Amino acid sequence: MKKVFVTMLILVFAVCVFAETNVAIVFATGGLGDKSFNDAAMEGMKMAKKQYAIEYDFAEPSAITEYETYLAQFANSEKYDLIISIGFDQADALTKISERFPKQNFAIIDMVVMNPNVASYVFKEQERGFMVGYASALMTVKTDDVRINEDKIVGVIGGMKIPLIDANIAGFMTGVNYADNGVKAIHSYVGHWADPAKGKELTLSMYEQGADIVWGAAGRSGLGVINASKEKNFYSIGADSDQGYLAPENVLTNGMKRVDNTVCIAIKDVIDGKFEGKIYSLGIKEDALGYSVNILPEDVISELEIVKKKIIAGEIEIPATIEEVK
Amino acid sequence: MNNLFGLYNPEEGEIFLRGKPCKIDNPSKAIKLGLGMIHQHFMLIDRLTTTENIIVGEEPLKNGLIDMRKAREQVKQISNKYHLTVKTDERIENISVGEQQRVEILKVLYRKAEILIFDEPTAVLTPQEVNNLFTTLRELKAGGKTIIFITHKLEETMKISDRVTVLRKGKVIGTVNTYDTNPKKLARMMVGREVLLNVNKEKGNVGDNVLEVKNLSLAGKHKNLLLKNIDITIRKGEIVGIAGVSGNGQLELEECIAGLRKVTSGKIILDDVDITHASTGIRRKRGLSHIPSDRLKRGLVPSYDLAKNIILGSQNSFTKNGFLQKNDINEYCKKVVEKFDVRCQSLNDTVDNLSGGNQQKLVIGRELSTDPKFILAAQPTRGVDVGAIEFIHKNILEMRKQNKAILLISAELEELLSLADKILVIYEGEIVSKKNNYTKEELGLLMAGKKVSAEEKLETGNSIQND
Amino acid sequence: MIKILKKYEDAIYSLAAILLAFLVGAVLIQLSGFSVIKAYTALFDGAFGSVFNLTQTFMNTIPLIFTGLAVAIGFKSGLFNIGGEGQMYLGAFATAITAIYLGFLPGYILIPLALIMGGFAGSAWGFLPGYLKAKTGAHEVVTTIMMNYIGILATSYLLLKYFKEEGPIPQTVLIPESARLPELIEYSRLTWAIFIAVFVIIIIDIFFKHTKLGYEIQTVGENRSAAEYAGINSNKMMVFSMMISGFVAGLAGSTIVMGVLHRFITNFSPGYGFTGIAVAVLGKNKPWGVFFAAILFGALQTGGITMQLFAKIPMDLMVVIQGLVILFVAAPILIKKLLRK
Repeated sequence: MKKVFVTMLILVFAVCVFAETNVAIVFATGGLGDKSFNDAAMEGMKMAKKQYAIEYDFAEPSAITEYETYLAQFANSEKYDLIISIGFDQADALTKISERFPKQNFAIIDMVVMNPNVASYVFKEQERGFMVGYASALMTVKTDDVRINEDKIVGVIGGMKIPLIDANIAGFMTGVNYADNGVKAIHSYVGHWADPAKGKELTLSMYEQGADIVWGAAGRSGLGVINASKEKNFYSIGADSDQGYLAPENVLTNGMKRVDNTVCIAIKDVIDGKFEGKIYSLGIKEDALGYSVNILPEDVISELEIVKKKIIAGEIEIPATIEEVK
Repeated sequence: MNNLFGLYNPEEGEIFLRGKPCKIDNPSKAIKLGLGMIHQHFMLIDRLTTTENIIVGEEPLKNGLIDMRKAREQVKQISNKYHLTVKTDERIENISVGEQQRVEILKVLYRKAEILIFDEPTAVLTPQEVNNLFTTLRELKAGGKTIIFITHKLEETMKISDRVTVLRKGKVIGTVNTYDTNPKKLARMMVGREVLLNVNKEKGNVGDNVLEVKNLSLAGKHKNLLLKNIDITIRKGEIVGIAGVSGNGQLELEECIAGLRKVTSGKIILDDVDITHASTGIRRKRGLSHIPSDRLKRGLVPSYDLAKNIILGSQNSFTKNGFLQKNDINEYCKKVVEKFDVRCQSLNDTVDNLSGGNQQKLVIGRELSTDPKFILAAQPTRGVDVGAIEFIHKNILEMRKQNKAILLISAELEELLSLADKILVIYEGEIVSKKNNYTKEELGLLMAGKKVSAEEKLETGNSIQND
Repeated sequence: MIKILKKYEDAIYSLAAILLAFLVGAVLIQLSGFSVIKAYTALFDGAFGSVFNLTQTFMNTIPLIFTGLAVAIGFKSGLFNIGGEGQMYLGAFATAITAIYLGFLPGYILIPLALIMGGFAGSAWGFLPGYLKAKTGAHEVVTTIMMNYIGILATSYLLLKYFKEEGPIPQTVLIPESARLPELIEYSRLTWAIFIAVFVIIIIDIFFKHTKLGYEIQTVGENRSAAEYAGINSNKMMVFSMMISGFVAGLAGSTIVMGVLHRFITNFSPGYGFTGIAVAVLGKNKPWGVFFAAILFGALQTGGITMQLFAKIPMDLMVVIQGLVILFVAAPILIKKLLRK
């Protein structure tokens, strides 16, 4: 604890003297242009530069084995106030490097590394699930829309049965129940992060069962969900980033994971001297999760804004496991 | 000669052309200066027609396109002038070797060559085709062309040339007028000592059968028979010769006996063991040695050094626990190189640096040093100089003395006549004649597919050995 | 003098090609608006400038030594093994599974065992194209490329189906400490694998220079007709050489798992198998040539990182230089002409 305190003191001192914060970021192997995590994180860096006048350097490793090299090079230069790792597969490398450079501050997004000099930023996944679940329940009763059928059924497809995905699903179901209008939520899993064909197949089978809005929380497999909705003309919901461009007429909204905002939050903590090597759980309140407007009708949006405020105020309890959903 | 044609660049010295020194550093310059080369291995494109081959690189153009009519006319004009008949629109792959050579000659004439260099032009021709070629050469000469004719065959030199320059080991030994010299003198110049052009054939001790080929047939790609019911028996201490114009099944026969080709029917028996379906390795183990007709393709690995080439085929006997025994190999190779007079700087030289004669001596040395029971010698003197020929002949006869059975496949009639105890003539895949004594003319006719009966037997001609 | 020059002819041409590549690279860097001196200083510094950088260079060199050797071995028998990538994945996978499931064994048994299993898995992946070539004449370039896809996807499938660690990442659990290759310098990830690589180079060198099998394989590669004439079963030799080649490529995967990643992760390779082709070409298919070529490529990779980070020159320029090296090596006629003039 003392160590952390001293580090913080030095940091505060450094910030005061140079009045400039240097941040380095190591992207995931997809590199820039992935229209996903890396691009969003880069947006965050640009935002931080604008808002807090930081300077940044970035690295685009081409292989998993290069993470350590880049992290070590950045840390070794002793130039940076914070080094950010993007993507969960950097955990191994960051664990080792953060041990090796105990005085260097690191942050990792969407993954946990339990070292005193690493701030881990994870998300209250159930909160975004709640938002899109609630939106779905409100939409599926609007039967005058050609994309909506008579059945009051909505669905969610998870990539794999893991706690993170189940939290999303639990949130979704809670959101549907919260609307309290007799809508039923069904769910299933692809079992793979990158199998759009299977994702599509599952979506179509949900559609057969009467679901007219399906959320794909399944990585690349989620592309199959959007494809299916485009083909049969019903609604789908995207995940993580705005996927509306894939099917502008069918992507209702997106369960957004605001990596850009998260990056900004991590940087701001360092600037404010509040860096701490612990797990941060971010959600709607921090604007780290949310929904996108896309083709949502006005009335639904205003309803969503109301529940959003309630979530921020802590008035709604959202369970993180399916078992806890009533 | 490749120097002259600009394929290699000389280290020093000059080339004078029409009294003027000139630098020829690439073939196109040589062509510009009026030089033309007819290579031993034709430089033709099989899929193109004769006309296309002749004009390639110097196409007559009309509106940017090749003017084929003009090209054909030009080719016809030249071919009429020198009586070089070729079918102008036939593809190279469909014409005979002799005609291909005429195309090569037309190619250089088309490029307005004044000096024509022929590199071993007769190596691929039948005796009849050789005569035709010589007629052409005389006509070219009459037409004012200069001809440089490279050969190692004394007979041809005497027949066609006006002057002879003898080269040995890259040095000029001398230049003589042809009418001032004779084969014996020339041979002495070439080898540097007296050469026995006549081999002394002692009768060997003919014994039991060693190799029997029984009713062997081989079908080609289109079910045509490349070899038809061939029967050959070779006994201990006997040399059996196979005569024939190249391309009549000699190569197929060689490969069948060596185990490089699967026979369609028939049997091959070596030393009472059926080896018809045995691999090349097993045949070697059983005592077969093979001097292949294509030494660069089959007999040698050009990028390997001498030692590695000498153990080729007998690598097993130099292996202990999987490792090659370097000392044993070197010792053995030294012996072979010495005994067979392979001239090299060291055993670590790569074989592609050796002259053709030395390469062949290396192959022969290797094959004769393994104490074989049967030696399959295919074209053993192809493309080597007289000195090497003499040496090779001596060694083949030595093998006969040691009671080896030898099958000699050769395109050289003199070689067959002077070495073989028995000669079989092969024509279109069939043995058409089997006798102990022939005259050269007889053989020539038989090889050309003419049946010779006893009455028709021609008078014995003077072969050059008897000069 | 000329003789010595002749002996090192290959090395001299390769060096000339490298120099030329850097020259052309300099022009490109200048044209892109960067400082050449700054770029090359950063490159050199990043590759060799400190002990740590040096260790990173060698760490990057190790897999390239194996995959480069694998390609060179294939070439010896006249086969073009493009399947190094797939063979490497098989090797990595087999090693990881062996190390995880036999983790109770002591290190001195487990380490060699895991390595050999990796080699065998790669070998099996090399055997198939070799066998198909011998039996049906199927061209090895086509089959090895196909086998790459099958290898990479099959290991990925097996991982997800049976061996995946809990959590979102497609990877196995960590292999036990006893199966990890010890680091030469702490945190460097440069492990004993470098000795294994050098050991394999020595073995392969001896194999081709002094053993009968090596001699026969090379004879098939140099002149298949002559090999058949000499009683060598060329089909068998081609299968053998593909198996040896696959074994060595498999070791590339094994050493990455045991020395760097400590587990199998899908898509762990940035194309070591393919870079191996370039390494073999530059190394003229000679074992020690491969060694030096791999160091060059490892250095470019490592130095490129520094160049990107601190001289702000895009990594792509490094890839361009690598490509130029190969271009100039593969076009020796061009170089010879340039040298003559």
